[in-house]
Amino acid sequence: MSEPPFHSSLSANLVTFGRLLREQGLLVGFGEQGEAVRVVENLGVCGRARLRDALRVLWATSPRDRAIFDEVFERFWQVWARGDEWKQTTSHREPDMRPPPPSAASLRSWLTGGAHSGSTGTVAIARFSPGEVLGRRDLRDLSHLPAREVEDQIGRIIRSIALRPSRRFGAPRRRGRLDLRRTVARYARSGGDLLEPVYRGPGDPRPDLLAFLDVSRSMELYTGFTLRLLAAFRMHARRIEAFTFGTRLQRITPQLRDPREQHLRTRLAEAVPDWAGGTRIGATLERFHDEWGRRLLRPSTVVLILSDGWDTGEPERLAESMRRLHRRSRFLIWLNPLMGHPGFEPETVGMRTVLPFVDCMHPCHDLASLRELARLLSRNPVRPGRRGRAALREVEPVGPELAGWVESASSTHSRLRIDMPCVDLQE
Amino acid sequence: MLPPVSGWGRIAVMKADDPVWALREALHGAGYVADEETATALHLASVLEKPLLVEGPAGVGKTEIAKMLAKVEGTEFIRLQCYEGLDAHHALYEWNYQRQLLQIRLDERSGKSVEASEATLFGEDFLLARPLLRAIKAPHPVVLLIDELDRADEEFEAFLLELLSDWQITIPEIGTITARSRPWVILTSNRTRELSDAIRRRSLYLWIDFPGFEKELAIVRRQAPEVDDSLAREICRFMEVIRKEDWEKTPGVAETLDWARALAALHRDHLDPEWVERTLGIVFKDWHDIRRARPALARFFEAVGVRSRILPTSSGEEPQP
Repeated sequence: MSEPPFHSSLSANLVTFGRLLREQGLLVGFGEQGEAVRVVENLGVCGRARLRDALRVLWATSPRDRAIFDEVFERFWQVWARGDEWKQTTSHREPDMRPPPPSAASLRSWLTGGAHSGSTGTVAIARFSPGEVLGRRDLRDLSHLPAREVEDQIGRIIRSIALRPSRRFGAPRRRGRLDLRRTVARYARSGGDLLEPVYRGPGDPRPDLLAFLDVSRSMELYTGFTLRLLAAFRMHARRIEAFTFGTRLQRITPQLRDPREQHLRTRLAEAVPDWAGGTRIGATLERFHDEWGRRLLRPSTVVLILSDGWDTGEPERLAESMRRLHRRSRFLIWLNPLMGHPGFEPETVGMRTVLPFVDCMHPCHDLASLRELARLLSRNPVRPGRRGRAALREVEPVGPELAGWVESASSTHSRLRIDMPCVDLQE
Repeated sequence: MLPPVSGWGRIAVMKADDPVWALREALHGAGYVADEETATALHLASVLEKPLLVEGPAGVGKTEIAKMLAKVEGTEFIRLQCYEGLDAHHALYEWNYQRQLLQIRLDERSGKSVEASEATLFGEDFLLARPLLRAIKAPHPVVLLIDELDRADEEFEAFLLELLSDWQITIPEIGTITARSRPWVILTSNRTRELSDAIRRRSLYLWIDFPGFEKELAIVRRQAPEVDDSLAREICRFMEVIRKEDWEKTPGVAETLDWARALAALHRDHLDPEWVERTLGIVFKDWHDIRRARPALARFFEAVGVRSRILPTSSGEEPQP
């Protein structure tokens, strides 16, 4: 198809408008655009406010979407009204004569035939471009990044490691597990009539995802990102336990339960005493094992650590704590913001100690790395709820700088698999 | 073709055949003050036959939309309250085990055959239909409200999505039950967690925020007509002022109405500091909030324009310090 059929300026501009919104991250697909055509047909002659309400109800699916929608709508329709589509003759039309509805069939065929960049020659509208340049911008400076994309990517990552596979009918999952002993005892007491099975306990408190976030001074620049990560935790997965560590271990799961996002920062500031202090990963993990490990860690838990690995403690303690963590979990993923910078080599003692116990180490310094991680995990879902260690099936070729290092490391810990996803160190 | 919008902004819509306007009037008649967007959303939900997801802070009237819609449409209102741990069975159906067991005992005594006994045991009498099944079996379209979906978990959402697409349920002992009519489905969420993309794509989306002064005044006038108009204005202005602050439990429309009715019952016709302080517990439901609000009352009054002395009224009361 070379040219869209020019049936009505409104329907063509609906399509353009929808495309603009899609670029901003709204879920406006072909199905949604088809529905918009139906809606416009149904509403007939209506004012701009009604059209805006109708399209917003249809296309914006969250408060953030609504704000984006409003902005794009204002700019779009202003420009369009000034553009060449304005036909003077329409002002003479009688108010109650309904215009012929746009031909939906031809519109749909045009939509599926392949969209064009040409929007009937109106003024080009400046828009955000979540392109390559922005994708490479460091996450330290979050203010210039489209917030939605960052949150989306983080959300995808969280969901792919923390979401249980969905169950359909199955057994009625009451709180806790069936207490067979008490059920049988009750059965015996009631003379052979099994009236009510007995369930045990208030449900399984052990989490699917266990997160450790480094809040020491070296990670201070990434505080914004850490907070985003935490906000995404809260929204996307329920069964999560989160800890911060620096010089101390601090459990911050209760702070995540609070539904008000604006309070997250203040509550964390109150709860975490060692923000921007030193780093003692080994000692804090040891403390975790002593106090929480038995309760929270189980063979199907996925562990996520966000840290740059600058450790000032003793390497032996670190190695031992990490070994225990690795052994008792299903999958251990380490997000390292330093990793994306050119010339990175895991040379510090901390990193060398830790690396054999990590199943996947990935950079997280910019949006592209987050997208990469989301893509990697979506192709290799690491779902909790299964036994045995997980490993990424798809191992991308390791860059030449790291290949030699990986070999030497794996020779000393040959029984452990090390899957290192490709790190693109070229800018 | 639709004309360009900027030229037609001022043209009055033909009210007689405007279904959105008609719906809005009907809702107002039933007692619900709806704005254009809400009425548009409800209208589109019926045109497109899609569920409507309503999100917003607690206490803004999300549940009321569904109730009022049922009233306006003259149909039954069925509500499924979601909670953590809700699973499909609780929402769909349950066999009345106790009754079945008793029936078995009786049948044994009367010597009924096994087949005959089984036939009755899995009949309608022994099936406890929960909200979703009731909504499906209804002969005329009902209004189905699935309240606080964010409290249920992702598995329940997936199950719900399936139901909303297929509109049929399989009960192993009975068979497949197909919906006789498609209900109006309204989902609400308090945004304590993000609902899945699939649900959001499947539904239309409406965001209801705390009402502004005008809307809240209209609500008070409609729902609590016994309240004196100047008192209502002061109350709404007061609520507008306090909602700018950050509270543990921001008071919603229900609190406004309760307060208005309480003050009217106490025969107040304007706000004065003494009575406001006494009735603060109606507005704020959290101890921290009350503790914060008390010392700040003077500031709020100033913003609202409530003076500390009583304006001369016809009853000629003494001015208070």
